Amino acid sequence: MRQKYAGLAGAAVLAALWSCVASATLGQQESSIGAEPQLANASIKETALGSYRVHEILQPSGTVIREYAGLDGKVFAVTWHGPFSPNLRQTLGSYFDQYAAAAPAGRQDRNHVQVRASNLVVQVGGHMRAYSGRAYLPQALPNGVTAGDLE
Amino acid sequence: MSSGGGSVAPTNNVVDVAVTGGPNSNNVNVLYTTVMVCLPGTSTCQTIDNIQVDTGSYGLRILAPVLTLTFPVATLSNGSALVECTSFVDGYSWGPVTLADVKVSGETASSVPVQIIGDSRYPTVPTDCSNSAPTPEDTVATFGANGIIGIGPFAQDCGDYCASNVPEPIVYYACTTESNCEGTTVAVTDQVPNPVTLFATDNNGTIITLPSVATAGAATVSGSLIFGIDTESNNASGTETVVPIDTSGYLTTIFSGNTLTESFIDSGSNGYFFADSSLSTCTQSGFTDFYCPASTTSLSGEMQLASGTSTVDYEIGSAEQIEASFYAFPGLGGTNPTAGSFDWGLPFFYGRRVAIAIQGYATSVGTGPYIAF
Repeated sequence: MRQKYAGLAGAAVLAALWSCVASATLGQQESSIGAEPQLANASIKETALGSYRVHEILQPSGTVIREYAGLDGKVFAVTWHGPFSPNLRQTLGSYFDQYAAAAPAGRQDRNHVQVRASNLVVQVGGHMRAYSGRAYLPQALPNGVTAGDLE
Repeated sequence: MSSGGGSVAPTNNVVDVAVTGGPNSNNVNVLYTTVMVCLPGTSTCQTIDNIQVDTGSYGLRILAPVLTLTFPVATLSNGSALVECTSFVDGYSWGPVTLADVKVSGETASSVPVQIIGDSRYPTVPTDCSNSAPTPEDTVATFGANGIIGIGPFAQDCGDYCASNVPEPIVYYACTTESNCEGTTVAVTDQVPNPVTLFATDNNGTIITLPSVATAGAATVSGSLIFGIDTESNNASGTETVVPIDTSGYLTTIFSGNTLTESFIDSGSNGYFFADSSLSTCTQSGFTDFYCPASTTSLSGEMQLASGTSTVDYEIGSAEQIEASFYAFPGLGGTNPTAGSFDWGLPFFYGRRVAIAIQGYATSVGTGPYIAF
């Protein structure tokens, strides 16, 4: 199931470029939050695929955030891997409160949280110094794109 | 070798650990121990039980309500107080870094930076902290323990990066008043450490030993946490399997044909968490991320070693069928939200002697970080 980067390698790469502007908020336009402080020093690689674009943002801390935007520019998924989890309120945007309300509280599985609603899926795992996560809007996935493509 | 280190008479380097219901009597597969904390340089001490033993984090953290002593808050060179935001996946814990002498079994570490969570001296959680995870964990009820002792394979909770950078989300804050706090860099030696590294001896790692647990589970399980590896006659390395750990704490697991590079062995996870579409998940509310096979299912995964792999057999039972009076259940498993990860939680430790060597520290079989069993 896990084929890291297979989604990129297998698709036609139309463009790849580096920029000093960054963005990553679920449900917003891909250019909406370029001024966010956590991204001020980040580097970005943009890869355009057939039905969506991936912005890969390398934070100074080493955490990699990938933003998936449809051709309409709307961010339908964000993933992250690295030593620090991102600011979730910024990353999830207006969906943060839904996530926080739905996340199980006070249980002993500290290291995994899954929230699955019809409009929002958030899956977070890891432990201190190493976190991974994936958040997406199931109803906004472009045709042919599955959760497994979001790495 | 089993005879290695035998020339040194053991100090008291063993503390009891146990799987119990914990302070809230509602947990499964959570390992606890007892630690003593003392005001620095004094014999004024407090013994605290129900401290979770966690090989997936670093540092000693105690919930403020269980403390009867007032520990001094660590200060930076400019006089500001050092306060920390600790992000776990499921919640955030805010509170000052204090200094305490830590005594566990016969081991002592002096003036250890220890986080006190939910301390009324610093009541205002910065928004950057509350934005880092879904919910606050600053009470015994929400934390599920009186504290946590993080003894994973690294020496600090942040390390070099926080010595020269302020990460996002911010980990360490300099506070000039109870609510005026800004992110700060912190020297590695002032960060909250894996307390084992500050013991005078037996400071290169730990060994957790727990007995096997019957498939049906057990009310409680008792075992030992041994400090040091190859430093005493009771912690010698033998011919165990050594699993290398990368700088993120990850190992690689091969399961069902997939190579899972973000895997880890973690006493702070209460089950095996992995993706297996052939296993049924539970239907009861609150259990839907756990597995509920109709009958106990035997499985195996392979851990990548420096050379070759090691096969680990395990079993998954129904999370809905755990006897109500049982706090240990070896077959607890669930789905893993991270596609590239296999989390070998506390059930992996049942029936094993698991050694965790800390990064940069040597043993007779290698240099940390590694985990051996």
